[in-house]
Amino acid sequence: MTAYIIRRILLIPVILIGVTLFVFALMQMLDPYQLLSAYVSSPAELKGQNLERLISKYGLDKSLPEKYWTWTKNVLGGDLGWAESASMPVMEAIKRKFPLTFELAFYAFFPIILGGIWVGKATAVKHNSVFDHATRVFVIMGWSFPDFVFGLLVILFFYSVLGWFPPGALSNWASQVVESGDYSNYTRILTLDALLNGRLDIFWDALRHLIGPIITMTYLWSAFLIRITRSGMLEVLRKDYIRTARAKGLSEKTVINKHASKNAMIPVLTVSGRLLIYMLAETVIIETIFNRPGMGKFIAYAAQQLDYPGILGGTLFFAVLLVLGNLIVDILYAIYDPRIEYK
Amino acid sequence: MKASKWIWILGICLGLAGTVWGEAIKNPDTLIEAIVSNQESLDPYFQYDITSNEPCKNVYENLLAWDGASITEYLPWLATQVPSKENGLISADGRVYKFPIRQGVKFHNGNDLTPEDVEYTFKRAMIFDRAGGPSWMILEPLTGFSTIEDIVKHVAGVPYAEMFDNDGNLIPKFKDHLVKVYTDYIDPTVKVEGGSVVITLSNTYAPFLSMLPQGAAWFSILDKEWCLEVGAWDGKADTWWKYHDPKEQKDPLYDKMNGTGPYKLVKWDNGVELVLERNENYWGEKPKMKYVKILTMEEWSTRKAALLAGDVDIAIVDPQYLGQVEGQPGIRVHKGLEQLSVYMLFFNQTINTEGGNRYIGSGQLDGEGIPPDFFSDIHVRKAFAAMYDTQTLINDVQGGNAIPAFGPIVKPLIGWLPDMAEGHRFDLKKAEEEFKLAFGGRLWEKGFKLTAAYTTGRMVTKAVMDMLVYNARKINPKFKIEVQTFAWSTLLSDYLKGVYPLWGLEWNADYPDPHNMAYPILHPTGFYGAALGAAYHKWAEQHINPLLDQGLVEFDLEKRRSIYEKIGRLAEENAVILFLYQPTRIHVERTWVKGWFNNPITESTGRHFYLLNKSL
Repeated sequence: MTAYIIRRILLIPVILIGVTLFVFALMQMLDPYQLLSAYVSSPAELKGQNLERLISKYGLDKSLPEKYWTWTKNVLGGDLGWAESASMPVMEAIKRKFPLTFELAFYAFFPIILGGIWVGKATAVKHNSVFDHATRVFVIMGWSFPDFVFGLLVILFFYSVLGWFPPGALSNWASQVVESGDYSNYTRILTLDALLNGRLDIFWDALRHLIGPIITMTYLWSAFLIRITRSGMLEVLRKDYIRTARAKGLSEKTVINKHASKNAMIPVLTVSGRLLIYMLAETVIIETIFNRPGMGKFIAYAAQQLDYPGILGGTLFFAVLLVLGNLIVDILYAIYDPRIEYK
Repeated sequence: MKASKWIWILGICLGLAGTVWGEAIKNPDTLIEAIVSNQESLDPYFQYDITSNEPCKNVYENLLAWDGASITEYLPWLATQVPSKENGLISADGRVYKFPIRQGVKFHNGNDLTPEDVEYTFKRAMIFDRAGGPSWMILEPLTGFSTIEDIVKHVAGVPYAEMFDNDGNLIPKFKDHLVKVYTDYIDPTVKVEGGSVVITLSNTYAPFLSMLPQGAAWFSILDKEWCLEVGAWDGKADTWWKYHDPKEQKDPLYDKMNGTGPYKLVKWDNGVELVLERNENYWGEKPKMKYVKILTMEEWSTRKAALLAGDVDIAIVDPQYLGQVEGQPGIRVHKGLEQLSVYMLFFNQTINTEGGNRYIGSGQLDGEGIPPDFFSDIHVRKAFAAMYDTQTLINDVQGGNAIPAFGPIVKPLIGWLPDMAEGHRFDLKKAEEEFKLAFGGRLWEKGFKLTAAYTTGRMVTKAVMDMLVYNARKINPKFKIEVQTFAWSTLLSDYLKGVYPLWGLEWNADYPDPHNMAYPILHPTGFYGAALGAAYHKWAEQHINPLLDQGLVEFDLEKRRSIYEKIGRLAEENAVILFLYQPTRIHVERTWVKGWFNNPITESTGRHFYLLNKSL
């Protein structure tokens, strides 16, 4: 197991080089004039007529190995470059924006997992009941809904109609408090900072702004998890050892919770562990719709602008998260199921 | 069942309560605007886009201002008088301008405004000259060159970039040349004389005064002492190249502001929000709003929801979405207002075929392509122009939010052609006749095939192209136009290579003078003129350039009008470009926002929040 973990850790740099090289190669398909659009976003900005100077200034005409070498050298020195689309260093952008994305993914994670597993189990146990059929409709709808459509419907209903859950991260009054000298931004996670500052009003305001995106993510992802849990559970419930457990006279509750659930949860655990990572990736759309200034919105804008340091920095960051996330899931997997061996 | 019923009732009550509360002014001390993009920099001499210009014009101030909605009448601002030949502040030859500087004005950090600040500001603007930035507007009238690097090359005979080694250090033998550039070309242009600043132009430049007023952040005044403190140019002749054309992160002013204006910068979280606070020590009447918040909200649905909920006071609304907010309670829409921009289709008269060209088919007049000189035949251009139905486009596609454009100069600038604007180009019979005359009749017989290009998302330009496709086929089924959309990055790249035969883009004026529209669009070295091909350049050198030169030095209003009208008519009658339409401005705000009015030039670079307040 230890050897496996070490091997996986040693593989991380290789994977990261592969990912960044791939993105770099894709960017290289664009010629310097196309890359220029990161610095000249509309015809209105072309009046200076110094385009060749711009190309040379930002090194857009350099070769792929030259650009990749410079970038790698800087990354190793802790400099991810300048994100033209955010007008700040990529590292600074990550520092400022990731806490907001993490906060959203964190809060959405629990209702997705708890709701998804509980409902999934319940539908398997009440197989072919009205509840099961209704849930299946719910799941198909959730799984079929494009996230940007469902997000917009959430805004329409909960904000435009009811006025409950506004987009953004904070209300105007709350952001004035947060920006004031009397308030400390310890972690940049808004709800946590509000509690650390003893400001329940700001905590509630930050939470109110989180609920819309949480509802969207919870519905879409719990639908996925319900499906996985339900099919896993159904499969296990048909196994011989479950029949044996029932024949031994164990209560249905014990059979379900003690004998069936544990084995049915193995595929669920695999999916759940990676869910947080997938959710982080989904924030590209969710944060754009709900106007949350997190990592997702940052990467979406960088991609629109062909801002390659921004795209690469964001990709690298998510790649690190994904690799580490996968590693943690694999370790948990082995702990949860001792039958699994890593060679 | 009962419980869910109660939840619904509660929801509806809360919703209604929200509506009732919505009638009171939300955030009464803060004006909130929702925009769609990021600020590039907060340095008024780095930025060159609307989004960045907006905070700059509210924090920094210029020597002059426009009088309300006028683009011809000036007000003194940081200068105490508007120079004119009559008051003796403009020399008889129109080259020397004197600006008496206002006393008692303080920057946000408490420093006094002095004539030395003005002198430093303009000199820094010239040496700063970032690639793709706005400094050309100062360099051109003051030095006669568009960039300081052109002056360097003129003085030393060596390109600026070649004067530095691989580590970016100046090769010592070039130092004297660079110092000379400053001492001979930059330094003499701006001088302090007592309480005034004297600016000497390289040549008479009639539009100069119209470039200066408030709204154009690139002529706003910096605090010299503060600039030196934060690490901007030290004002010396032998260091200027160290401060020339920096990347934004190397520019000390990129995220800092210190102006004399009605608002001061509180916070800039780029791509998220920018917050301004009232300058309580403002020298003029205090602004009414305590805070201004500019929020970046790219997604239209979110922007709309926030506007309708009253969480946003002013929002950017594209014309196609106007119907979604017009007539909604609490929303006021201003539309049909003038703005200085024009949308065009360009005909490339000498298409670049080097390395092949996929936009012109076979590259010959054989019905499967077009020859590279296709648009150099005036009959082809006139036929294309006659296939464009302006009124249908404006009414059915633009929803009435545009007026016809004839020639490069738009309403209400001098040189705009109102008589032509009343007429119509659209005439399919005429188009047919012109096509029959083109290429000695061979075009009609063989037909043609070409690809027209537009930027992704510009659906109005696409509609124009679809109109041309339909009408061309109707006239002769052998006439085939393919319409292709390109990401801005690709369009920019291919446009610069000169490979498109027919493409659409727009132009927005920087300052309200016909020179700023006619020159870039029609001059062979202007941004668009340069891309119209060698055949066009030859024609323009003979017909357009002399008129542009005259217009630049002529002060008499009527004479200038006549010159620019001639330019407009020449462009229109020779169909060198198909001028599509002049969009009209849309401004959408909550009804509680008071004080907004349209100035055709200043509103193009964002709102002037000083004038606005919120009240029922």
